[in-house]
This record gives sequence, C-alpha cells and structure tokens, in this order.
Amino acid sequence: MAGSLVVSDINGAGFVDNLIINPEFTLNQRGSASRTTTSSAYNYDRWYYDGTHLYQGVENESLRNGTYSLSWSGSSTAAYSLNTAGSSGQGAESYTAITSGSQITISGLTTETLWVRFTGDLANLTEVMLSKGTGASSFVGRSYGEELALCQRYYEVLETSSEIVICPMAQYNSTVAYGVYQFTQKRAVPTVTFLAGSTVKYFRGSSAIDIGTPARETIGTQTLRLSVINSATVGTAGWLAFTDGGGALQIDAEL
Amino acid sequence: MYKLTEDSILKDGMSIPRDPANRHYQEFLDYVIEHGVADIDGGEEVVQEDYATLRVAEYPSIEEQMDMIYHVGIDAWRASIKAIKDKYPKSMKRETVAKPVPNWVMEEANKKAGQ
Repeated sequence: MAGSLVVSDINGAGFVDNLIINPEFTLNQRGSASRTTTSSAYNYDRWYYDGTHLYQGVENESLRNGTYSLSWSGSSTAAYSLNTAGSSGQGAESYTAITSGSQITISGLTTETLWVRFTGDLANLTEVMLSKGTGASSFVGRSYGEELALCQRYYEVLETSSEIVICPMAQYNSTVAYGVYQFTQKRAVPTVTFLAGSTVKYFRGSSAIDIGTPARETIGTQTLRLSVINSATVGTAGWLAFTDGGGALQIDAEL
Repeated sequence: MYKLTEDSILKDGMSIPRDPANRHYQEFLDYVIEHGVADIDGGEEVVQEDYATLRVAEYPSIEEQMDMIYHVGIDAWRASIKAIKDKYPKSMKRETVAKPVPNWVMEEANKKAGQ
C-alpha cells in the first residue's frame, strides 16, 4: 500500500454527485425560447418558473439525512424549503435564504421534497450544485447524454414535423383497437398530452383514418396504452402515426 | 374544464392519471377543494352503439362465411347477412348519456383537504 487516500484529495475531481439536474441549462426538450418564457410552467428541463423564481425540486428518493452544500455561479440569490407538499409544492411553504457555498441540514426526513429556488439574474444563473457534505465542492458537469437521461425521468417528448409511427395497433374487440407506446420510466405516472396541432391518423390496410386525438389512454410509469374507437374484426392490425404537419406527444412527470 | 373518462382525467388536451405523485392530479384535487364538482364533466356512458359497430360484432368471421357459401350456398349466406343488417338498420346511431361525477372525486379531495 502506497498510503491512505484522503477525501480532500479527491474533492472536485469528478466524484461528487450533484443532485441538481440540468445545472447548466443545457437541456431544453420543450424548446422554450428562454428559461422564463412561460410563467407557472417548466421551460428548460427540470426548472419551474413561477413568474419570479426558478425552482428545482429534489425528490425525496434522492435525499438522505445529513448536510448538503449548495453553490452556483452568477448573481442570483437563492433560498430553499424542505416540505411535504411534494408535487406542485414549489410555493407552498416558507423558504430560507442561503448564500452560495452554504449548507442545508436535513434531519428526520420522511416524505419531504427539497426545493431550491433562485431569483434575480436568472438568465446568467449556471453551474448550480447541490452535493452531500459540508465543503463546497468545485462544480462537476455531466455529459449531455447523462443529463438527458436524468431529465427523462421527469419529462420527454416524441416530436416530429413530418410523418412518424407512434405505435402498432391491433383490434381488441369490435369497437376498439389498442396499441402500447413505451417510454423512459418516469418517477410517477405521467400526464400525457398530444400538443395542439398534432395530426394523428390510424392506418388500417389502405385506410388512413383521421382521429384527432386517440380516444382513451391508460398509462403506467413507462407505458402508455392508446386506443382508437374503430369498427373492425378482432385482431385486425394497424398503426398509429403523426402525419401531415406532424405533432408532439408530451410525457410529463415533473414534480 | 375537467372531464372524467374511464381511465383518466382530461383537461386542455392533457390526460391526467389518478396518481397522487402526479402534479396535475394534485392540481385537479385543489380545484375540487376550491370549486366542488359542479363544473366537472363526469363523462358519458354508451347506451347504444351505432349500426356499423353492432353489425361488425355479429357478422361471422370471414372463414365461417366462406364455409357457409361452400356448404350451404350463396343465397343462404346472403340471407344470414341480411338478417344482421335488418336487425341493425342504418338509422341506429350511437347514443350516450351523461354520467354523474363518481364519489371518489370528492372523497380524494376531502382527504387532501384534511391533511
């Protein structure tokens, strides 16, 4: 043995786990013009904007009792709240102001979500980092692919400007055809939206039936069952597709 | 306006699941706590399908129909198909009735309000 490894030797060397997702605002699956384009909504991935603050919730499953350090670059000011409001809990509780490099202590954790929020110069906020431990670590970035995978636990979108098959379908009984679309596993059963302007058609043999929006949807954390009201014999095969002007299928399980 | 279906809750193109961890479902419960269920569409129940759906459900399979033509003749096949068509004339339209908002909506909202 050449000697003991000291924790301080590896601080900032890429081993620190940042609980903030999309800390450099590189992911923008919704295609928002800016971080603050739409109020009371998520614009850039994982960042909720209420008209004044940018919020990010760290879900309970990622938290442990102990001390965390929060740091960021830019002149924004920050605050945090540990609350049980969970979903839609961005503004539900009182917040405690915190300066960059300071600590957040969590004890007696049960089902709380940790919300951090920023205000001020939000356009230049970057390198946000929340890591376990008492020392402010140097910011550690992740690859675009890693960041995308983390974001897609909360949100993803199937989007096209032309034709694309969504899923194969089969006639279940004399009135309904079913198909299953699979997506990245979400933290909860997501809300599913065919965005306005989407043109969805059901293809069966040589027929293309314009159905607007599939009539019913049953969803789990990684599957979406699409159904089309359609008269055909059981087992008749078909497929569901965006056509003409395309469209977008949005799958949203944000906090 | 919220509309209930068999599997989910619809609003502004969104299909919202009944998952307490879903933020849109929590917003739905908040709406019920504040406004009650008077504005909520409970969905609809089909009391009669249209003629095409009813006919498709009753027609024999293609294999059975071919078998009938081969063994019994085309006139018998035509008569059997006509009997189904006469049973479900084209005047039969799909009919639905409005469903009341189910009890679970208020129960879930009350549960949240009491927390």
